[in-house]
Amino acid sequence: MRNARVARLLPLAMLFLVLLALPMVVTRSYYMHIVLLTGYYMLLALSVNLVTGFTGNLFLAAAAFSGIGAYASALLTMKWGFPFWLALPAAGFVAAVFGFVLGYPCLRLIGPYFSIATFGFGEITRLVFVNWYSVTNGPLGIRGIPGPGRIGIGPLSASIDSRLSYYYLLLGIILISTYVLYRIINSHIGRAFWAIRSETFMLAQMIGINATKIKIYSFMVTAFFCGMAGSFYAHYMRFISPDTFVFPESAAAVAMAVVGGMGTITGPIIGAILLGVSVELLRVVSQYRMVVYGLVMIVSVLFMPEGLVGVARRIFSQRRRVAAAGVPARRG
Amino acid sequence: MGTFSVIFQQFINGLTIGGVYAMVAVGLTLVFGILRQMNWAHGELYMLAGYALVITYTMMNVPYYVAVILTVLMVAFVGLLYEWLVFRPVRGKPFVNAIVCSLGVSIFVWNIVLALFGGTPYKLATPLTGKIMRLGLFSISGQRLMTLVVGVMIIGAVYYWIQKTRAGRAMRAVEQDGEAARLMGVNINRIAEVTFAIGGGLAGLAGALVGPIFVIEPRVGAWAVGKAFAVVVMGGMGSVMGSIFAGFTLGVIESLAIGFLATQYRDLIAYLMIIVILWIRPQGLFGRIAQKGA
Repeated sequence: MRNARVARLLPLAMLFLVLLALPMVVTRSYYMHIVLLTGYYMLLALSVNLVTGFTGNLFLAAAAFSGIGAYASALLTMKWGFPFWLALPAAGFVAAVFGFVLGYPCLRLIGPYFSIATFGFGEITRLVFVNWYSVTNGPLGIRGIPGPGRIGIGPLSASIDSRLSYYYLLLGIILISTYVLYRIINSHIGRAFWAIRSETFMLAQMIGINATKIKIYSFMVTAFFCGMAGSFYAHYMRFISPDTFVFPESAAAVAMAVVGGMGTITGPIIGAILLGVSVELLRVVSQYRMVVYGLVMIVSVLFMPEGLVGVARRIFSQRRRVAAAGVPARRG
Repeated sequence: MGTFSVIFQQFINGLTIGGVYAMVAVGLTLVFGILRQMNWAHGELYMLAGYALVITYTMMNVPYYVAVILTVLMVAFVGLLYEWLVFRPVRGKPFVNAIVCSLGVSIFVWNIVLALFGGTPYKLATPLTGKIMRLGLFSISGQRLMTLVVGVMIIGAVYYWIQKTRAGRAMRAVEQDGEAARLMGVNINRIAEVTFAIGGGLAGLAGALVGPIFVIEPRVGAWAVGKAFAVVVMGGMGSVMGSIFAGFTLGVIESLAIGFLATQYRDLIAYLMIIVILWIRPQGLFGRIAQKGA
C-alpha cells in the first residue's frame, strides 16, 4: 500500500526536482517568461481538472475565475493597500465566493447543461470586465499593478523582482496547490467527487452522498485556485485587461488537462508543459498558434482519450503484465 | 416618431434577428436531440457561411442569389465533414469527449480562417442593400425583409419535413430511443449525416442572409454559438419547436432592450438567460427533464 503510493508519487516528485533545477538551463529572460506563463496555465489546468477530471463535468469558466482573482487582487493592492501576500489568498477567496454564486444555479445540472452554464458565466464575467468602467477601467484594463515586494523575515527574505524570483514563487504556489489538491482527491470528499460524475449522479445521491454539497465544494476549490492563478498573473504581468480572461483561455486550460490526462494530478501538469511551451514557441508563426491547439485537442480526444498519462500507464502496466506472465506464480 | 412606432420598429428588427437565431439554433438542437452530442463548433458553420459568400459573391462574382445557394450547399457539406471526421468517432463515448473534440474543431476552424483571411471584417453589399421598404409607420431594409421571409419559410419547411416525411420520422425515432430505433432498422449513421447536413445548411443560410447585414469576421462564430446556446437552453434541448419560439423571443427581447437600454447590455441578456433558465427550469420551456444524463 505504502509502496504503491510512493511509486505513484515518484514521477511527480521527479518532475518537481526537474522544475527546481530548470532555471539553470533556461537562462534567457524571454524563455523564462514562457515558463512563467506555462506555470500560470498549469494552475488553471490543475483546477479545471478537479471539476472536469474528477466529477466529470466540463468546466469552461477557468479564465473567468482567474479574471475575478486578477481584478480582485489588483484592486485590493492598489485601492486598499493590501500586501501581495494577503491579496493572493484573498483573490482566491473572492473567486471562491463567485464559485459559490455560479455553483448554486448549476447544482442540478450535468453534462451539456453544466458546460453551457459555465460558458455563460464566463461570458457574463467578460462583459462585466469590459463594461464596468468605474471598477475595471473597461477595455483599457488596469496598469501599474505592484509586484509582490519582499518575502520572508530578516536574512531569510528575498525580493520578488527578477523573473527568477517570480519563478520560484510560482513554483512554490504550484507545489502547495498540487499538494492540497492531492490531499483533497485522496480524501473522503475526493472519492465522493468520483461518485457524482454525470453517469452516477443519481446513484451517488441514493447512497447518501450529499451531491449538492460536494458539487458546490468542488466548484469553490476550483474557483479558489483559478483566482490565485489570476492574482499571480496580475502581479507578474503588472497589467490586466479583459482580453486575457476570455473563453479561448478557458478552453486552453481544458485542452491541457485533456492532453495530459484528466482525472490524474500528473496529467494537467504534463499537458500544461507540453501545450504551454510548444504553443508559446509557435508564436513565431503566430497565426497558426491556436490552429495547433485545436488540432491537438481533436487528435488527443480521438486517439488517446485518456491523455498522455493514460497512454504511459497502459504501456507500463502492459510491461508489468508481460513480466508477470513470464514468471511462475508464487502463490496458488 | 412616437414611442409606439419605436417599439414596433424594434419588434420588426427583433423578428429578423430572431429568425437568424432560430435558424442557427435549430441545427444545434437537432444534433443534440437526435445524437445526444453537443456541437460546440456549430457557430463556425455560420461564420464559414460568411466566408463562403465572400469567396463566391465577392471574389468570383457569382450573382448573389446563386451565391447564397452555393453557400448553403458548401456549409451543409462542412456539416457532413464534421459528422464523418469528428462526431462519428466519439459517438457513444463519455460526453466530455464529444464536447472537447468539438471545442477543438471550433478553435481549429476559426484560426484557420483567421490565418487565411486575416482579422479584418468584410462588409458585403447585396443587391438589396440600401433598399428600404416603407410600410406605414415603420420601415424595413430589403435585406432584413428577405432574411425574415426566407428564414420563416425554410424553418417551416424543415419543421414540416421532420414531422411528415419518412426520414423525419426516423429522426424523431432516434431522438426518442436511439437503441430501439437502431433495432428497428434505422441507420443511425445515415440519420446523423442528414441531421448534420440540415444543421449545416440552416446555419449556412443564416450566415449568407444576415452576414451582409452585419460584418463577416473569424470570431463571429463564437457570437452565433453563444446566442444559439441561449436559444436552445430556453426552448429546451432537442426541441425544434422550442428553438423556433425561443429564437424569435430572444431576438425581440434583445432588440427592445437596445431601444430602451444601453447597447452593451444586449449580449448580457442572452447569457443571463442561460443561467437563469438553467437554474429555474433546466428543461427549458418546451423540453423534457434535464437530468437525462446524455
